[in-house]
Amino acid sequence: MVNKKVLGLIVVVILVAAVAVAALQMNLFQPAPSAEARPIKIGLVACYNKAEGQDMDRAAKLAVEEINAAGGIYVSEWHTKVPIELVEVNTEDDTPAKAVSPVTQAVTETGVDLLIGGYTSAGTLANQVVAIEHRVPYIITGASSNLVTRRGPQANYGGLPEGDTRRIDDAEGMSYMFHYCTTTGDYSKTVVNFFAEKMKPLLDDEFGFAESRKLRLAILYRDDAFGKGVVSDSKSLIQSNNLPIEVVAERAYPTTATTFQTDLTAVKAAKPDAVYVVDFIANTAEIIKEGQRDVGLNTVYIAVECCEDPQFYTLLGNYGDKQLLESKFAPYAGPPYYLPMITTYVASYQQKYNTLPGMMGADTYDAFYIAKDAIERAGSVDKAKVRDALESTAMDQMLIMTQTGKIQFSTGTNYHEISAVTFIEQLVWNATLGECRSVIVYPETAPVVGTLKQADFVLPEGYQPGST
Amino acid sequence: MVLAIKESIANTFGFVKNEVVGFSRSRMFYYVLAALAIAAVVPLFTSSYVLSEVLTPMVIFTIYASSWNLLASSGQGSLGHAAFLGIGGFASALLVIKLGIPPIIGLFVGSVFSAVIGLLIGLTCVRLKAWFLGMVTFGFSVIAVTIISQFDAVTGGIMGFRTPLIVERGLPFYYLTFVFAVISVFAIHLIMRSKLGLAFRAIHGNELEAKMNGVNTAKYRLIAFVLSTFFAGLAGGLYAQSIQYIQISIFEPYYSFLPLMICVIGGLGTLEGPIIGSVIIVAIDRYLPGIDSALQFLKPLFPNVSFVGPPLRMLFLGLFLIVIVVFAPKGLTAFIRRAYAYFRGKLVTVKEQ
Repeated sequence: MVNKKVLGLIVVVILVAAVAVAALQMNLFQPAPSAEARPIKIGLVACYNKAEGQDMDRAAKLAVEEINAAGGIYVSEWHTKVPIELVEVNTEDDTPAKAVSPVTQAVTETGVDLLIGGYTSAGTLANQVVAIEHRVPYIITGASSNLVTRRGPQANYGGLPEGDTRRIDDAEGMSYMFHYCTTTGDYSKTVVNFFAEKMKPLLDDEFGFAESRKLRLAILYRDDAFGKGVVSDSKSLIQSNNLPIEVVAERAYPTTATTFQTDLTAVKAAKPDAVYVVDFIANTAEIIKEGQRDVGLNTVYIAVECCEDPQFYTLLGNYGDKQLLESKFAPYAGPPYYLPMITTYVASYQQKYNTLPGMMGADTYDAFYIAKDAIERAGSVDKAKVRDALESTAMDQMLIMTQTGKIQFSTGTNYHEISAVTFIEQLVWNATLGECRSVIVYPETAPVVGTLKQADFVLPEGYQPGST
Repeated sequence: MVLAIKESIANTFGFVKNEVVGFSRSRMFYYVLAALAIAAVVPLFTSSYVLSEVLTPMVIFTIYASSWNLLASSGQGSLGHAAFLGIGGFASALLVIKLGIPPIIGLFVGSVFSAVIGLLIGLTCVRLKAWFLGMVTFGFSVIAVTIISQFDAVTGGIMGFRTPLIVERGLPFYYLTFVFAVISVFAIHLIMRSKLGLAFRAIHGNELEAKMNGVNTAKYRLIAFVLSTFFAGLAGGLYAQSIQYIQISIFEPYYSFLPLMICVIGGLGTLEGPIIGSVIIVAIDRYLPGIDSALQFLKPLFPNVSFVGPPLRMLFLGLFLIVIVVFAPKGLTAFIRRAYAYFRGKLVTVKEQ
């Protein structure tokens, strides 16, 4: 009798459990999606007329397609997944005059929930004011000046009187800014360390220079925040770390310049061992070509990471052979790549757009996943909640390597910045492809990833060092 | 001396009073009143974007183009007016930030500073003819960029900085710029109607003839230059506030050619030309790039760009300028006046019949 009762109880428990599991699987306990559910509007701030902007656009579309194909972003407040609606915010030439208006339109008219992108430091410093005023989280993937997150006192946003509830103070305003990009300090450090640790010993060996002889570095840069930032950071790093490098020439040229023979002639007269070129794709390629072709400055040129783009390789042609590129994403240095995810990304990108991706797009691609992760953890599109969630981001690194292997935004003095790993690539002419490819030559290893270096750095053919 | 000053002030007031009374009795007065009413009421019904990014720049560029137009009325041309726009913008913002003076005072002092620089430049170059003056002003704008860039520690021009605001953005700021624009345009109108304006027009008409009639052409050319740079500086101060940011790019050649384009499109030497030109240029600038979705079919013509709007805007602006120069060399103002006269003539004929 007892056994029958126990048996009956067990049967009932099993039945109830089975029904509960079935109900869970069929989402019967799940509340119905909220009527407020709508696509999440993410604005991509980019200069779509330039190669860098087009790469960002392509990468953003790829990320959005992938996320939406997987159902979208789950917003617990709405009890459902919603797709991302990509809002293209074209800042054209990214001067402050052009960069502010489209962002204002995206924020005030389109009502974006979050902004991603930014290109030049000046343009981003100008348009971020709109995001600050309206408390819109902005993941800045360009603009290497660290001022985009460390502006300091900026007076009164919006001209609002004290006590006005719409008034926003500096600390609160800047808390909506997130810099998912290397700064001028980050990559200057890699560049000067490379010259001190790798190139100087090589020159000493090759040309029998005395150990006391410093490496002669020339810096040729665009006369703007980006150029000045790199020069200032490089010089202070050389000085503070007592590196065996002497800056023998510093030449600034207007941002509107298109030919550089005069500057290159002056640089040549300074007899440098290497030339650090600080500009965007088109000008950097032109400088490297003119330097070798027109001025006969047969030296080592090093370009900055924003030049990591198919257009740079195309423009350079065989003038790029054995020249250097500082970067944090190397689609031309594989396969195989140092991160498995790069293999997947490069394949998807090539399949969709029939070209290799660039560095600016890689940051952008990651940023969409960072946004997705933050919104899902926030469970809401409320901007303050999303900001809080972004602050506590702790995702595994994606296309951009970080010192900890995790995507985390800093707090304190270095507010909302990431600790990206940067490296030096050397371009190698590939006659079969009719274009250069690259190999990573510095550093040997990277945290978490392990071995990074693919080949030893070699001097270009016909290389002439500076004065003895 | 005091009596002479008193007499001069009384004369000026008398002149202004006569002009206002005369103007209020003309038919034009009602048109101006209607235009002002529209400009004052329309912002109440527009979005914040249209208000801050379309209407406000229209008003500010009206001041800027009017300043250039005033210079052109004295037979001079500037290809580097951006220098004064930039100086006004930088000076007014820096004075507020560094010295802590109220933004409204900073705006005036910045404009005066621009005029003082204009005086110094003018002293050296107002005797130059036509294109030579244009080239000198263009050269000065390049020098101004270099100075701002070299003294970056003081100016902060390379990275740029946020500008303090006189009033809250949106409607209050629009009405502030609107009041400045009305005062500026009216002041320029009075100048052109005064003996000063007569001298400017005489120089513009035939400098040699003016000189033979006893007009000190160098003096009047200098006055026109200084007045023009004052209004350009005022526009610069307001423009820097309108985008809440100022950076060295304000000195770019685009801003030097902007008032020239506005005046050519609107009508050189007319009061309403800079107003009409500003409305058209800002509308082209803001709305043509945004029509991409409607122009998807044109994308194959621009394979290297994701957006059709920006290149289309440049194309359209270029074509528009060519059409204006060829078919309406006196600008849209003359065209509108002719059209008005034509339809009014038709109306009178119909009434007579």
